[in-house]
Amino acid sequence: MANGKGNSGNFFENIFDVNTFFDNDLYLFTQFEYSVPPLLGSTSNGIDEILNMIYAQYSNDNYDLTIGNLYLLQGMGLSLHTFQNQNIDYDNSINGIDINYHLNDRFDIFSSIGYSNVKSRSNPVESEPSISIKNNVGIFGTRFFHDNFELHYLTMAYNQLYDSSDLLSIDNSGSISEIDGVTSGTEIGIYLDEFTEYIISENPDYEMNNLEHNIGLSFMIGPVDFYLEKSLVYYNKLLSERTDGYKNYMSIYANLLGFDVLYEYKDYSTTLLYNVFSNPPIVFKEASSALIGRNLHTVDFSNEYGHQIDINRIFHNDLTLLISYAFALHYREGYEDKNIFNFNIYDDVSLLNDLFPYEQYFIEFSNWSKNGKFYYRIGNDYYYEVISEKEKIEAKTIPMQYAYKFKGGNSLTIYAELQDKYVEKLDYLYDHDFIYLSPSYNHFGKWSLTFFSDIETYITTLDPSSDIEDNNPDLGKPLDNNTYAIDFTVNIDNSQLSLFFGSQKGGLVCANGSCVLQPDFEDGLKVTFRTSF
Amino acid sequence: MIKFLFILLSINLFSESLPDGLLKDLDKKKIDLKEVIDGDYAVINFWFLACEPCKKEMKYLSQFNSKYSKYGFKVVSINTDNARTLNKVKPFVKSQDYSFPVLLDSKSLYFRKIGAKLCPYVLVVNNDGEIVNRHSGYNPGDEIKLEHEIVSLLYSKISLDTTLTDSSIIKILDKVIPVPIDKKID
Repeated sequence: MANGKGNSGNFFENIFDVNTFFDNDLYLFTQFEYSVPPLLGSTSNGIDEILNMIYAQYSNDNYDLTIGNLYLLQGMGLSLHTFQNQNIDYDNSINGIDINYHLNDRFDIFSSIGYSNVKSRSNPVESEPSISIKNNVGIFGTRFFHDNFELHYLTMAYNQLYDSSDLLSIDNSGSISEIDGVTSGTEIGIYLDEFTEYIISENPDYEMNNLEHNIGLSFMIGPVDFYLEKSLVYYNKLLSERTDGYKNYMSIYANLLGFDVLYEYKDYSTTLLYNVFSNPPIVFKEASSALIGRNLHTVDFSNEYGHQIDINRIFHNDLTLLISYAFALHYREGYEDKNIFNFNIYDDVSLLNDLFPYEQYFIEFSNWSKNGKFYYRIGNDYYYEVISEKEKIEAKTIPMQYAYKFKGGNSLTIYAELQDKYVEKLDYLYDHDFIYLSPSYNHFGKWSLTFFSDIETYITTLDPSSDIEDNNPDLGKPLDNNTYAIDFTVNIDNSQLSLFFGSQKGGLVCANGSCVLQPDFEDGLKVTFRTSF
Repeated sequence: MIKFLFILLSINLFSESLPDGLLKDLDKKKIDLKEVIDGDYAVINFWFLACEPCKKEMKYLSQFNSKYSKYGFKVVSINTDNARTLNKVKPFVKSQDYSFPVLLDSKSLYFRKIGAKLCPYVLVVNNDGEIVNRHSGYNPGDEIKLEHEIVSLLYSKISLDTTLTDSSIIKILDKVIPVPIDKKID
């Protein structure tokens, strides 16, 4: 859909959340969806499709019982973290039964059993999921807690079934060039490349039995918080032999000289495992601005190690400071792993390109003026990532936000961002300059009017080291790709009606006091209505 | 010209009573939301770390919590970050030195239970545990309306305060109409 490259059409998406509370502490949640089709996802209009989610919960002093869609999280999710994210059309919940039994004030035991059909995309730009993996799951664990000490252990067994179309979709997510052997795309997709002919000719289904042991520990020593978690994973490489892997995560938090400092470390190594229930910490700063959000690092939860340091401080005059530095590398067969605690490797990260490095640092100041009328937030972000052997991105962004409150409570908020982005992809070099400007007027909370202008100029050139010929006359010429849009939102009691007209590039969009992830939207009208009753 | 017509109709049906909620505090200890509120008037806000409007609003909520606590009012903040970013919540909260407690709803089960869809999301609750108003989103200036709502709810207590000298509260007191306990705020 982006920039005129996709299909046009009409979308009609309706979501109904219904909460029902019964007198005997029983609670029922249901979510219905009637979408023909939704902007992202599959059409949902049949009797067997409209029930998106249902679960019933019952709690008493001895136990908590849930039946239906299970949204589970143990520890930091290294082994088990199921959730729904409608913005990206994702739901890896388990359909089944979950019980958490309180043995006493310090001990819980828990168990879940069920099945799930987890849908995902081999390429994030696909409007409908192309992968659908069936799972049967059994989980058992225990938790001990006392004051600031907590220990949990769980074991999780799950049987996974991939049909041939799943295998082909995963295969399509990565490739090896037949000409120069250069790889691009996901590691698991690249790996499956050697099986492509077999998958197409034999239409195989593939079943595997996975086992995970997960242990997590949190405690405090004086003013320092520690968290440690480890998973051991036994699985099959797709269409291949049995193997094992691990996931490690650690965090340390302390206040040092008035600065709140968090250090996080990750080491995820379950090579060629298609993660379904594991959603561990990302260990980088989530983007809080539109342009930075377009260079979001996609964590490979099966193969990535790295760390992050976050520093927060609010000064006496309410000046808020935020500093973040994140770094990650990949394991690659045939390449030496690097010690990320060796500070010499940070002198020139481009020397690590074979290990697909990711590096990002961010600093931000924000404050209100003394009279409380004017707010500013200004930052500086640097992002560098090697996505594959033939794709590298470097971007420098200055995100800014200004707000002014008028006397009666109406206000003007301006999001302004500048970005210089350089991309090397296959045989081409792309030099982009972005200016993002979005002023928004809010009229006493009754209505708001927001303009979006997204100005992009870019020059595409042929990589001098490439041996291909391209006579495209646009090469070397500055071109533009601008989008403009307007949003008008009216708030009436518990209802909100928004009219959006124009085009918008996907990512984090802030309007009417909320920031949400939005897919691309091109040259059209979008009507959004939300209400509670 | 118009290539897409996209309509999203999102409807939440919810209870007017604040549902029971067993959440965790920043030290991961289980805590009952109703015990935290303890029969006070309350504002409950939902937020996550990447939500900039949420953070702007919380600065004011912290002020309201300090300003009106002596009238039986409190703010309870509920964070909805999941495991991907959960460990970043405590350092951020500690650095901001908020006056209110922050609880964790890392599976967003309570967020869903109260019928919320977007952050920031605010519930205004009376001392009978009834939800009397809801707000979604935050624009600078919205806190003025919210403070008026709080003063309306606390009118009977504030107006009896013979020691009241805070001119900002007195000004609001002159403007607002007390809300009967069994009515919703318009």
